[in-house]
Amino acid sequence: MEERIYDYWVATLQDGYIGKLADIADAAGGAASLYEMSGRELMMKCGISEGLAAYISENKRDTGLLEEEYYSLGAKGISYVNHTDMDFPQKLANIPSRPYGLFVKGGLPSELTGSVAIIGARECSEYGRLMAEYFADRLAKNNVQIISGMAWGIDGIAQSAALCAGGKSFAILGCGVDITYPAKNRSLYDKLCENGNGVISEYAPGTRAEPRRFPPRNRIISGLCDVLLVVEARAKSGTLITVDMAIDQGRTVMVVPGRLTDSLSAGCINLLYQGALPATGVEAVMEQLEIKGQKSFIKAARHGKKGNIAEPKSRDIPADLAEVADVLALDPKSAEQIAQEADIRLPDVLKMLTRLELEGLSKEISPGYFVKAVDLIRV
Amino acid sequence: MFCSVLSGGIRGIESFPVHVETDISSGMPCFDIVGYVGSEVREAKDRVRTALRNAGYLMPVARITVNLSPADVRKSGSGYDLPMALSVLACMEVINADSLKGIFVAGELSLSGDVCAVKGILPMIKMAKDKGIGKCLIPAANSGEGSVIEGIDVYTVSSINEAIDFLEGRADIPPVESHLRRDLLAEHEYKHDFIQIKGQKTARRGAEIAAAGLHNLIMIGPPGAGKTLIAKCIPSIMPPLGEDECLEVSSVYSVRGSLDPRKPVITSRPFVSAHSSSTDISLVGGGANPKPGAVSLAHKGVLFLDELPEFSRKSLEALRQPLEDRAVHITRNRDICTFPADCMLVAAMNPCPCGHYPDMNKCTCNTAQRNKYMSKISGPFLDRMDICVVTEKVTPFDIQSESEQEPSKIIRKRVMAAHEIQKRRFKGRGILFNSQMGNREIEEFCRLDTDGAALMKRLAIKYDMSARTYYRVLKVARTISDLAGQNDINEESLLEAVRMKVSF
Repeated sequence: MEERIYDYWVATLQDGYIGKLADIADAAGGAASLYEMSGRELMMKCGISEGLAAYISENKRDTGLLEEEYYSLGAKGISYVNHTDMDFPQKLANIPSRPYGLFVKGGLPSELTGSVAIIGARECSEYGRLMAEYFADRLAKNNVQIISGMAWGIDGIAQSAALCAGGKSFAILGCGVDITYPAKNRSLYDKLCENGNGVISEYAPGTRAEPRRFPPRNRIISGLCDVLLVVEARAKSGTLITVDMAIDQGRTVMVVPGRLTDSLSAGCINLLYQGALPATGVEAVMEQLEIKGQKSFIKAARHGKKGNIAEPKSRDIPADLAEVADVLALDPKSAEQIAQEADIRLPDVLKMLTRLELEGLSKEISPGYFVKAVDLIRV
Repeated sequence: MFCSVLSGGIRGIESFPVHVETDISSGMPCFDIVGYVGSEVREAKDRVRTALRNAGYLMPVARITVNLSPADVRKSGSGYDLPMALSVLACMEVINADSLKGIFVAGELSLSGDVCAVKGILPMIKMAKDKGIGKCLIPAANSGEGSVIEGIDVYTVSSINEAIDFLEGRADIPPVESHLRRDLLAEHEYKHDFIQIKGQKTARRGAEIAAAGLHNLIMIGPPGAGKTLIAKCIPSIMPPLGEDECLEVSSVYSVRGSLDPRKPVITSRPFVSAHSSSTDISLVGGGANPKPGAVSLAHKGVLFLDELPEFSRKSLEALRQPLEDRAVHITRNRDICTFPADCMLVAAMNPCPCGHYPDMNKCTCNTAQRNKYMSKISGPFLDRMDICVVTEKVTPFDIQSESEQEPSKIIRKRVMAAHEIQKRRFKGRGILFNSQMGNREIEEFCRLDTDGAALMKRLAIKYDMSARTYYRVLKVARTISDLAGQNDINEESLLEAVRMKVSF
């Protein structure tokens, strides 16, 4: 049997002992010899625990079966990239608990251009949505690849925005690459599988999404990026696991500042206090990429001004709607609050809100609650 | 010896005449009741025999046959005791058989010979009056209900001896005084009035439009935002019940035996709140002897479903048909019972399981939980909700606000004016309100001018409306225009109607 099939076999074991297989296989002298070893030998030669040795022995499958599994990957559009392969991302080669191999649908991020991971809360606010869209859009337009976890909320928003901007984006999943999780992101998943984008996982195809599988995949998200950008995170958020890993791996951590009163920004504010860099605008992120050695951006970074993101000039608001439009903000407000603040009769407010929505100037984000529709992308 | 007495049975909320025929003849001594009777009617045999003996009359040792005619309709209930006893007595020649002609009799007997209350007296007397009967003899305990119908003399008795004395002309019992008109004329006092509600402008506006076009209303808001109170106030902005409507509503309660004897006629629109643990039968009615459910008890009033997503899917699906037909049809092996169910449905729910969305500082739910919560209500059920409004937590600002809230009386005036317009519009079409318009009526009465049609097209594209939603928006816009007294649906009402649509 080819050496590659043994590599594939070791990769399918990763689910049980995340991040350990690469070192074990090295100790055993390669995947093939690992396959041949008995449980006792494994414990003696590789110095592994009885449990892990038993796990490896139990999962030894017939070589014929392994071959069949391996050659069926192609039909599903999945390729296997071993850590010894040329195209295995160099960024992942030296991280702690490096993966033994990756399953890929689509492609892998290019090493020639910069990558920014945009991550954050699943239940994000309108502000979070806007920031994720803005950063992803601008970075993608500057040829930066957007890495994320394709989760609901910030992750998916950022990746969608990057694709919309014509950029490249890569999703690292906590399940097999043939599974769309969350299922609601189906159309995003489909787009990520083609046109040089990619869906990546260290779990074998068919592996289901389970809570325990998500924290380990975060080290691949942070590992693949140059700069990690946190958009919105609560004080206790899964995002912070990724931040810890990024720090271990020597990545730059940047944070989109929020308000002290927003619980969705509490995690971000804590990170800023601990020394993360505030992402004051796309130029600030570009500057960090430049420091990381991504020279191609120098020009772009110098052009823009650093500092705050300018509030876009509002498009022409019909004069009679201005009063209501002025009251709208990024915080959701009910028609009643708007009527109170603008001091207009409620039925009139309702009519004006519909007209504003038709003009694309307001948005109903939940039944009865409205926000100002801000477009940072098209300005 | 043969004698027949007129009594009545109940089917749905209607009564039908039943002739209680008794024959005493020589033969093997027995007491038989025939005529497709239920077990409670069969047991009347023992009650009648004992009650008569305790009243001082021994039944003859002879063959006694009682037939309830028509014999092919199932009879249930205990109201046949008194007519049976009286017809037996007439056969025994204790009372003159002629005195039982032209009189309607109903009542249950206790073993002591007392006459006890029965359910459904109101529709029975109405039936007797429609049959041209001039007199009724009913239990004293039902005298309240008996006083509701005008144009028929209703006498009440509390024991069988009193009934005999009355029929023999030995006792002078005056007919009960009819007080329907008096009750109706009395100024209605509503327990809840919109004047009590602080703030909640959106919900107020939604409730007004809903009441004006009899649209079903759904309120979304955090716990403690006053959804229940607003629902309770809605009957107070609907027009007062007409005389016929009062009788219909009272009949439903009479059949269920839940009329208040001190106030036997229901003159204000009912408000019925169904709990989320309600079964489908308690909501729509049913049972071996069909009884009206919550949707019929709310006839001409408001049926309130609090915590809508907590209702079982089965219960909500069961409500769909009655809401469409404005009546409940219950089929039992030979009969079909029909209960009226012409009510306005008001539902309330939280925006998410914890109730705080979209306040991200408080809401602890994730998208999946929220979607699951919302998806508990089936699409077809939501399709029956014309208007959706949000209520908000009342702020201290609202509580302390000195500004005068609009009382129900003034809102009711506007609603009644809109009802008037609709009555004229739908004359001879079998419908009364905008919410009841079918597609043909919508085409006819919700015509838009060129600008309106262009706007509606833009709105339909913007909000990705289904055909159903499109028509619902038009219906609500029609009502908004009616409230404003406008003949045509203008752009303003379309813009507002769109805001009221269900958007989840």
